[in-house]
Amino acid sequence: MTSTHPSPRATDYSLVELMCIQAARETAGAGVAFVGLGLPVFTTTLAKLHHDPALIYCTEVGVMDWDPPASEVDHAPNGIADPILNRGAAYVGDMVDTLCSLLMGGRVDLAILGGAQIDRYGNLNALMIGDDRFHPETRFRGTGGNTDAACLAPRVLTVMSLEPRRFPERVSFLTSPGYISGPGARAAAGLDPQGPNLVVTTMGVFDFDTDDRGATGSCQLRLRKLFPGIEPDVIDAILPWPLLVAEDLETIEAPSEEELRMLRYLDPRRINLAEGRY
Amino acid sequence: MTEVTLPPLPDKSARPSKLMSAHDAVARFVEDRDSVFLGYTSWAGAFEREIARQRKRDLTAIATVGSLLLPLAGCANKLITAYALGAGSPWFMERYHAGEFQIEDYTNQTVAMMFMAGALGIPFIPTRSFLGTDYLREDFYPQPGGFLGEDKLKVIDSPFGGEPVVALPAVRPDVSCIHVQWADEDGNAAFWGGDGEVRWGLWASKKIIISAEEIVPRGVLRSDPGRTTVPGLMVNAVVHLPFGAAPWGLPGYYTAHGPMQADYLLKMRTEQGVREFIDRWVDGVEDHAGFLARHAEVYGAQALEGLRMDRTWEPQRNIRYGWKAQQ
Repeated sequence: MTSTHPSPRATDYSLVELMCIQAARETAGAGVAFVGLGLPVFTTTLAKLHHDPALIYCTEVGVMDWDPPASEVDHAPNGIADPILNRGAAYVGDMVDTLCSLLMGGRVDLAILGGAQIDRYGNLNALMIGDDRFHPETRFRGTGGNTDAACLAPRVLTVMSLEPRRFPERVSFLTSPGYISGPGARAAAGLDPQGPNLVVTTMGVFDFDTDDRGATGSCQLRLRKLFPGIEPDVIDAILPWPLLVAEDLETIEAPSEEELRMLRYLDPRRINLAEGRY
Repeated sequence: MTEVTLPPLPDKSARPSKLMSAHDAVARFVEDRDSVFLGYTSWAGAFEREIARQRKRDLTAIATVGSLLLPLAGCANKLITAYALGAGSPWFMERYHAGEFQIEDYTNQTVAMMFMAGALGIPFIPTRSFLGTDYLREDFYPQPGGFLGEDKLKVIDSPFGGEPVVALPAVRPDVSCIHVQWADEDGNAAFWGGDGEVRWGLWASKKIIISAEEIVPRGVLRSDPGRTTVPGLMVNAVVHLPFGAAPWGLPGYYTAHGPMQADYLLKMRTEQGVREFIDRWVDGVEDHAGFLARHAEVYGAQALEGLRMDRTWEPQRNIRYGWKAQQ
């Protein structure tokens, strides 16, 4: 469905919408995608229906290679178990199939994940905030398959709104390892190398300062692409650590009207694009 | 071909039916202090309410997605989960902090694998998930506010390559309570549409009670045995409960009932709300038929029928089984 003609650029869009669209753009071409709970289901559906029809779309509940007739898709799946995921899937099994055979068995190319917090090494937290583990200030529902994917996927793309509460110096609780504490830390923990990883936010896209998937380099978040109209200073002010900027910083294109139309079409009940959700 | 006179063939109808009421299934097979697996994709809403109605005590609720009602109704004091639905509820967290129930957090993969180990009859199963996480930190393991202590997980070296793996203990729930699309009187049950951890949870369980949207004639599942999720030989009871997943959905049949789901989640946020929910939907009705009648009163007579899926399909081709005659 990708247009061969450049579509006119949209002007009336939100930063959340561009985050979702950019996540879809960055997911396109990934191959076998393991789609995590929450926003990734939405953004990867856009990737599948607009940017990369060949994308292999899998969710942990058991669905592999969801490839529905595009004209039938009247909404992005509401969660990883929406029955629309049965339509046109190549395989529908269970969590051992997806989280063990597919993911741990090495058949996934990219995991798309969300979470409550992310830190400078790309570690995610989906469990709790607060130092006292008996009395966490906030307890989230939990990790679902987020931990499994972060441990086991060869690449991770995280979708996360850029806000101070979501980007702490160190996650309160590391449910899902990125580069943990820096170069070599994944290997020391017994995990395989991972990357190149990306974090798509509401202001720009980060990669990580490592050329060899976590063995060397600082392994820290590095601003790679900026949203139009956003200055790096704004992002630097939000992050509690000094912003690292790539030498070849790019500016992201505004959404095309087609991308925006498709994105909004996929969320008829405004579950993902609800005002004030992020 | 020579004529053979066979002895009388067995009468299949002599097999006792496992059909019973939800009350009897729960009364007989869910015992105080049992560990209970309530599904996720195959959520047994009616069984959950029946367990609460019978005020079962000291249960351990196990599932990737954790029950809200059982701990808040005072039925479960332990939870093993990857996704504690209750964390969104201030009242749930208050009761948790008060020590009324304990939680052990796992992940979707590891819950499914612990069930798998239980089903296979092996004592533990290794995974490469959890490595590098704070779940393994010394000040978190054993989990504060949990109950498994040192029995939760252990990092060991592979006896073959020496690489670290996380050993998970096998889990064998005392009883599974699952809602499926089809079951027959023998207890054969078929669930379809993304099993989550359901198949392994069932196969790991010591007892199983099934509620089914439809009770199909005995020949139906036996004509397509590859469809069966759990064979009746493992199942103790079968209950016919249309809309037995409500207010959650069931693939191919109906979608979740948004207004009741929202009300449920809202009610679970406060002590008074929990009491109101129990008064109205648990204690206030005698059984699932009463629940459905109450649902019609509250949300309208057509509310449940309105949830029927309207974008449905059937397999384009049936498969074929067979053999070649030898006499």
